[in-house]
Amino acid sequence: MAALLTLDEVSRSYGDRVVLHPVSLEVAPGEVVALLGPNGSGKSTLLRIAAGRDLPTSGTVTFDGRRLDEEDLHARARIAVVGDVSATYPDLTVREHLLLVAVSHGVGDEAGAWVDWALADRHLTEKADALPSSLSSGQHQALLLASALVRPRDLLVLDEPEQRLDPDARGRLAERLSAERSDGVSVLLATHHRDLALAVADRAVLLIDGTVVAEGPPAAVLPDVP
Amino acid sequence: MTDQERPDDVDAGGAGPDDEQLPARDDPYWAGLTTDALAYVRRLRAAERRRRLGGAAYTAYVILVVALVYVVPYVWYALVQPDEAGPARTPDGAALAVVGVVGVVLVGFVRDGAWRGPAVLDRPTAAWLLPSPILRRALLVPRWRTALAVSAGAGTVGGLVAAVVLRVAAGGPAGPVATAGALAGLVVAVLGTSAGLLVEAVGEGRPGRRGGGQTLWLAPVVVLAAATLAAVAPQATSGAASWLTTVVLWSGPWGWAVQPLVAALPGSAPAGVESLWPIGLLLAVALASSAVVRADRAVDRIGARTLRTRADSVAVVGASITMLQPRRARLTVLAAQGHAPSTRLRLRPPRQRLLLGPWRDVTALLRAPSRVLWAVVWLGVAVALLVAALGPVAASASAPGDVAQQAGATAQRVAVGERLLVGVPGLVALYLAVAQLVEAARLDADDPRRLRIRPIAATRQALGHAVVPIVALGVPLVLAVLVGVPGSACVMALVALPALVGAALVSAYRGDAPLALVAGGGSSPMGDVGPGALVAWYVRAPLVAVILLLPLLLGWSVAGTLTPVAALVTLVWAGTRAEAVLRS
Repeated sequence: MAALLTLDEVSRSYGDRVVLHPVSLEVAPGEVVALLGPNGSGKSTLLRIAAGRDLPTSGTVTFDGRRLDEEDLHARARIAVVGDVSATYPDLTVREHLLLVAVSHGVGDEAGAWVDWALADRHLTEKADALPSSLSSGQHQALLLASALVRPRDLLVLDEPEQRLDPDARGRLAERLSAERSDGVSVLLATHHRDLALAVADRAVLLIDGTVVAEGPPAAVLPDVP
Repeated sequence: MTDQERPDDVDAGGAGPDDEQLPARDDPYWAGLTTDALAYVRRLRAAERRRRLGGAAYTAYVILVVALVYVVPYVWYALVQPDEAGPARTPDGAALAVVGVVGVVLVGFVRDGAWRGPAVLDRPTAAWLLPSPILRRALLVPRWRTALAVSAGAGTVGGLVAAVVLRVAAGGPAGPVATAGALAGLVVAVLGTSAGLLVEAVGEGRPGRRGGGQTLWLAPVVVLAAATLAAVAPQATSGAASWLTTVVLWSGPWGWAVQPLVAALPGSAPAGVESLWPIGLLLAVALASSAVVRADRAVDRIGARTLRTRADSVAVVGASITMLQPRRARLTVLAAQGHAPSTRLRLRPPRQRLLLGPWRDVTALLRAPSRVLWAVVWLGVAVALLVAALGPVAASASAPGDVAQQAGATAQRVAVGERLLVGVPGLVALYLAVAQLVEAARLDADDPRRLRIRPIAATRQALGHAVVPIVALGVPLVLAVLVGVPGSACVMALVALPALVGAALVSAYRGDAPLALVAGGGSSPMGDVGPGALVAWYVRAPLVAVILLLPLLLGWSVAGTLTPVAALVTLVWAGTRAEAVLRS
């Protein structure tokens, strides 16, 4: 099966500092790939490049057969991103924010239903009319996840989505990611949570100091994670 | 540290004496501890205090020199001029104008008390001394009293200068006018500072209540009220309007404090004030004194959390102003005031992508209604100035015949000057009205990640933000023409709108000032232009827009070409800035 996302010899440097040595990676449709590694290993940089939020110093990124450009609206409409590259409006309620995301991604008349479903899925229904500033950090993370769920998507890029989630919410996250895979959505996630990687990932990639040091089934790679 | 080295009164666990061993709360031990601790800190920070005092002394020296050269001679000259004015020289409704100004000043004190207040600690003190077991009053009272003294001094001088300005316009005996002005300034400053401290203390112990955070709407409302008073001022010398002046002057401290000044200005005091002003003054002094006493007691009620938050806010606001980031300073102040957008008013989100942008903009304004109020205020000012600016040329252009043509040409030159003098502030006011309505664009620029929430190019998003301000200001301008406001001014404002909206969007997506400019000023062939370059960078968009709109203001034929060019330039510029912000 042709890969949905292909990173070919992608590297990233900031001045003389190399944060990502040439990395090649493919994500197939409906595949869940977990990026593992200690802090500062280059996971977030790799995710930003994969989501089109940053340009590689060298190498190419291809999404659905087209070279990924930072401003490619087609790609932006099909890649949902959750992480430190996500933000909300301080003056829109949770429901208004989700409707904004849904309608702007072409959901149209169905937007209300999508939003209600995402609110229920992330256990945010009671907070639907609240402003983001009144949410706990876990609820805010759930809102960012819900923002990714109220819109059509072929690829979910998640940077440590388990952050600030309690064990129940982490369990629901794992269920959701498995459901996404079943729906044919590809997932590329960076995580420090071994159980999450083991539960949902088809493949794990271990990054250390910007270099891929291991790749394969999560159970095989996890013992190498420092 | 080993057990052998540890002092005797510290137990093995590292803690101090037990609760039972601590002196009672009202024991003089705590006062002694406080005195010792503060004396020790004072010794430690002596060098820093000297440095700060040196800085303050230098600032005071500069202010004094500037005042001696540019202010004092004029004040003195104005005061020693003989009073040749009859009662007719006093501007109608001067009393109402003075009350309006005092109202705005008092609102300023309350707003200040809602986020900073007169009793404010610096960050190190808030971080280290505040949690220690020393008496908080000893930390706060000197700061509050110093703030009160400084405010009283500044108020007295400000009142004096204002009185001198009024005397130049209205005449009156120098001594009484100056004294009354200084006294009004003193009373208002003392009352305002005390009110600020009471606001600072008022929210303590009540969750969800943070002082005067709900006072944001006050400023535009008071300004609107003052503007309304100014509008009725020409009729304020007789009949119902005179009765209104009497009511306003007796309606509260804003009126009581200025009664002596109003009474000293010839012909401006209504009957009820002319003879009874000592009672008004007495009421104002009594209220200010009572406020000082209450504030002095309330100092103890200000909680540690409030003081810490405010110390942080003051530091962040100071840094933001230094870095020329007024938006960041404003957001910090709003957060410190506990301001959260109200979601009471809602507009159902549309299901059509095309309507999403306008819905977003209108929702942003519903959540920040004070912006709308300010837009109304500035639009009113802009129309008034443009109406005034367009009058003279229209009159001179209508003069017939050759001789009249020559006279008309001279009048035209004079009129052009007058038109620029009044019209340019009119365009600036219109820009300020527009700038209130691009709040959604500012929210995008506050966090560039928000420009990625919608899968739309940043340029298109920026241009989309132009629709609501143009409609929101265009509709009232059209209505104004229909109800009979001089049409040429409103049409000019309408035509100028797109260019000014573009400029407001450029400013919204302005981003941070270049560090080189902040740190080193700007170099030019004539040397370092210093802060001027920074200010020019900051106002460049409205500056360009107003310059390009000057032909329109002056009625030159080239305006037909330049005005659309101005709109095009600023709107394209806004789109470019939005892209730059996204990539920052």
